[in-house]
Amino acid sequence: MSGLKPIAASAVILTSILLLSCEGETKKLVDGYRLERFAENGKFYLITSRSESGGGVFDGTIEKIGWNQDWILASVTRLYNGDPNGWYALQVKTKQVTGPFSEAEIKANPAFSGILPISCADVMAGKSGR
Amino acid sequence: MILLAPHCSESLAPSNGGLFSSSKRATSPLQNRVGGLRRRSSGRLSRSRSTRPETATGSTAFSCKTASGRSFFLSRDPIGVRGGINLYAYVGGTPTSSSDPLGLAGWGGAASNTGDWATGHKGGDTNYGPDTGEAQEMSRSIAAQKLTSYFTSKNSGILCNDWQGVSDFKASFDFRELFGEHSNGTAEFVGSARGDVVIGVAFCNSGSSNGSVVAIFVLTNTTSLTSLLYGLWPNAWNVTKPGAPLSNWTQTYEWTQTYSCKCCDSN
Repeated sequence: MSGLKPIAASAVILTSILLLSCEGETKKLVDGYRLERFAENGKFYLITSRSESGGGVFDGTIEKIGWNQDWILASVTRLYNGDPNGWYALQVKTKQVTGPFSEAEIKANPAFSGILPISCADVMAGKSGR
Repeated sequence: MILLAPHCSESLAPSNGGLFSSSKRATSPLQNRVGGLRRRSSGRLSRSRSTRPETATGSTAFSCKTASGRSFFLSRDPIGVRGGINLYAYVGGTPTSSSDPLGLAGWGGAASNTGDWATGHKGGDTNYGPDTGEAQEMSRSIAAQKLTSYFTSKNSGILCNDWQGVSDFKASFDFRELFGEHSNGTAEFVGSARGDVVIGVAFCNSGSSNGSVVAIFVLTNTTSLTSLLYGLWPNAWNVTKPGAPLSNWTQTYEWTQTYSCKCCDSN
């Protein structure tokens, strides 16, 4: 390390900036959960930490999302092509994920009343899905 | 090659929604090609039905000889053959005059890639196929290991012709790759990447209930001024002209992996 020349050190710093900057923008939702737009594919994930690999809390990418203090509802495309896509619900307190649900099941469930899922792009733009 | 094990109860011949596509996948026309793969309008990768030959991995050891003629290693790469068959590559092939106690060797490759991108020597779309050193290095990255682990755990216990791929895996960079035994120049440059796995082919061994699945792993990364500057640089201001300094550069790293699987339930 002691023999590292200034130009090499500069390259190292520039490279550090490069690799550090590859994560996407995030938006806080509720109780530490965040919606992240991953820079490499423009898709959205529900995460609890920036450094997570994989598909986040719902194990998939999210098209629409809505939430209140108790629930986060999301329309999910699962990462594993053998898993079913659809609406999934996260109970915030217990961290339990259930689903998939059809849109009709979501609307009929009183626990989800008052939650109005919107597109992830709208959430990033500052609109609220609660 | 698709063979049917004689005592299997179900056919292994591929069909729509079987080996090569999921019934839940989009049926829209195929669009962009990524190496030997095609990206659908949904963004998911798929591969047309084909047989990819399995690659045999040889093992070669580089060693010194003692006066007695007996071979020995001066100091092998701590990650062993996972770092490639040249166990002295990490010291530039000169184990008697070089060392890498801090595991910083990868920085050279990362800095070189950064320089090439900044000066316009690399840009546009670059596909690193299975035989390239870059793809091999990415296949050893921690992000790739996480993708591999996810893929294999999801397909654990699944019959060969039911194995499914993975789309849009968020392969985040792991800081352990900066130093020590995980130091990896290509991974350091790439940082985080999108990960996909496509089932290339599945087959059963003749007269056996066992078979194999060949999976194609793809990691995709775009280097741009926007990604460099934490998104503060507007996408519209990015340099898109291939060959221009600091222009968008999309790299695709592709490699294959063969897995053993069961062709039918043993009972």
